[in-house]
Amino acid sequence: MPLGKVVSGSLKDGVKIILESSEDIEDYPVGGLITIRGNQKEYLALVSDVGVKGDSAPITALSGIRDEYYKAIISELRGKYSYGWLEAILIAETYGNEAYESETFPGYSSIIPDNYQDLLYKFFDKANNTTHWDIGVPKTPKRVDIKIPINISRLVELSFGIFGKSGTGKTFLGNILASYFMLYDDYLASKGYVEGKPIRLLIFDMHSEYGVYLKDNLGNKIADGVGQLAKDKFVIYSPSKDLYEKYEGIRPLKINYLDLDETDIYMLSDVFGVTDAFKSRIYDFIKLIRDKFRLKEYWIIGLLATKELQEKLAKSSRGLEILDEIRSRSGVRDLEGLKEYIIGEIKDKWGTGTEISYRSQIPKLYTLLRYPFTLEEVESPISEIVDYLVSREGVSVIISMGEYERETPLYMIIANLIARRLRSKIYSIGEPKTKIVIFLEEAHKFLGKDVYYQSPFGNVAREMRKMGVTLCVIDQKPGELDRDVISMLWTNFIFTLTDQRDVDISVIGSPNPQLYSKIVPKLRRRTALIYGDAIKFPVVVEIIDYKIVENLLKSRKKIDIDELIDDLKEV
Amino acid sequence: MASSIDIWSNIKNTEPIGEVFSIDSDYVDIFIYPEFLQWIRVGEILAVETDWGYALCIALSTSYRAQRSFRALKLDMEVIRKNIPDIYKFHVLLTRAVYTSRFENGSIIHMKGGTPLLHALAFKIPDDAIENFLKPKGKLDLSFIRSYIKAGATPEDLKYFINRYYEIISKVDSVDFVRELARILSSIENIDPLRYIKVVSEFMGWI
Repeated sequence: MPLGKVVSGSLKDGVKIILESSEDIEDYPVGGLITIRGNQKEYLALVSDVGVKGDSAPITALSGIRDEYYKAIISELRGKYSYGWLEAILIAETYGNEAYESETFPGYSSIIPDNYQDLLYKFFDKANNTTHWDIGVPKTPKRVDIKIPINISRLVELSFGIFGKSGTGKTFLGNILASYFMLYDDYLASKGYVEGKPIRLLIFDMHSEYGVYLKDNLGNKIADGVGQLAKDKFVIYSPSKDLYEKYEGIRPLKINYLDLDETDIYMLSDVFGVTDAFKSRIYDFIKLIRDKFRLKEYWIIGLLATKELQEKLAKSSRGLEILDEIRSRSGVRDLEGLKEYIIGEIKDKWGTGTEISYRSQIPKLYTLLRYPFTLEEVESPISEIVDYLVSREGVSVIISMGEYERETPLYMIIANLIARRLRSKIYSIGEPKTKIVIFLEEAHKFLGKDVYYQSPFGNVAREMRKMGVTLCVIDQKPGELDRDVISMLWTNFIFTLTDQRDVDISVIGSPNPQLYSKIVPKLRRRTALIYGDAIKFPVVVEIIDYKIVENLLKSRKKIDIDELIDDLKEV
Repeated sequence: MASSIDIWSNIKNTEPIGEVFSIDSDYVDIFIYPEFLQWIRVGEILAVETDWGYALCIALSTSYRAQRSFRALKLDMEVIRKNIPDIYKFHVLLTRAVYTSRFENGSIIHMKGGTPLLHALAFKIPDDAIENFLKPKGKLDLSFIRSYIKAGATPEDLKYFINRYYEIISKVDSVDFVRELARILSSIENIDPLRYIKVVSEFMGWI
């Protein structure tokens, strides 16, 4: 007995289906996968809307009838006075044993067969735990137990996005994908990296849920992060003393402020909440400090010149050296004096308005002094991090922010510095012997419309794909990302979004944005629309339980690549 | 306790209440013997003998008229009965029944069978066979109502049927009964099931 029949629609607007009266509309969730048996082909479709068309007559005619009778009567009369309908997006069709994107439409009265779940396998691959790994359980009418795999070998090749509101499951998915990349790397290693280069992840981990553990909404531990589960695969760094003192294996991360450039400061200006007038002069101010006061590479000291910085620098020999150097270059005795000197120059050059602006806004940048920074190259592990990523013998890297999880400026500084250094390293050595995937949370801060062309990540996104560097763009506001970034994402994992602009942007690369945009606001927590290069057809899935991946990682055999190569040589 | 087959087999040993007068499609017009006239009401299930068992019909309407010409007597009934005791011989007492079901090979099937012959005897069905009629395979099956209504039974006629067998019907689980009734009514084209349900519900006290 069919579950429903096709009555109308079009390839563009979707297919309209009337359900049999025996079917309960409550069994048909939006985002559910159904199959349609046409005259010649089978079709895969995704439910985009559901509803009931009904007559009020039974409700008025039977008013007053006792509830048990009313329910019995309505259950039988439902089909006479109402019908359930579905609107579904046609996704794919069979052609022989192969499935392709839909380009035809099922004929009038084509049926939804009651064994539709068996047909679903015609449209999706099965996991092989090498290149294809289960990513989730699709929504289906009546919850059919099948799992849809993601093609990790494709996912690693091109940038992809994970979007969704806060708390929807982005980080869980990020950990699952990171785990799969590592498991795929094990597989590649077992083949002596003949089938692909070693995979290195660079994960910017704002909330320490990759490097330490995943948390529930109250901050309680749920499960170990991928960095803890595959310790042989990752090196974890943190600016947070709490983390690197508490967790064995987490290394301290200090930023050498002398590595900053003016773009970093410009990109931070919105985060610090400076005025537009100040922001528009930032490059000028830095140029003034750099050239006029001849501070050159020490311009950041001039910009942050305060008594507090003076005291900090005076505590180390390197700091004292720098203070001496600044004194000799600028001719000013201390940093407080230097600051006033700079303000005076600004007034002379751009007038009182700019002077007032500088005086009032520059303290907002002093937040930088609260962060763990250094002025010594040897104390900064950025070069080491980059070496880990590009070398065949290296490992993946997680930057966990620990107690600084809400310090967006520090997060941005670290991320920008590493990205810039990675880019210059790759330009100096050429295409690395590894595939590098950069997981970037709060991506709009680096790839937003205002900063995309200045951010090092913008450069990575634009220039480095062919060198084997791709991005995992993670964000809750995809609408704020530059359009170019969106167009570079070949696979998208979309959790629920409610802002219409975010919804529209998130589905823009899908085969039918207008129809998919209806689905995204209705997705439940941990349920995602996935479409793009790494999945055969667009699908809504409930992301698999992280525990499954956790067990996979725990049970994996660690591969000693040197031993393997020796074995291969012996063979 | 007699089995349902015994009950049905014994029907033809009871006194016939009439015989087939004419047959027209789903309708069987039964000439009712005058002495049974008062016993036959709309909604009554009648069994008409056939070679293979019984054709089972539900009374839909009655008609009562003179065989030939009608002449007014201007007398009260007492006088008529006293002076013309065989007056019924000159009348045609017809009950139009709808052929809904059959009893064949020991079981009830809610579907028409072969056509009875004219003058085939018609019998009342004893009440202890009605449960078997309502549940031919042990499960409530009111599909005979479909034929009854399609042949013209109004909500009131259905109410008379239920009233006639109220004692037996009230022993059936009432939710099952209403569900089955609604199921059957919803499958009939060109009627308003709600009118039937409303009348039945009021009669049964479900409202």
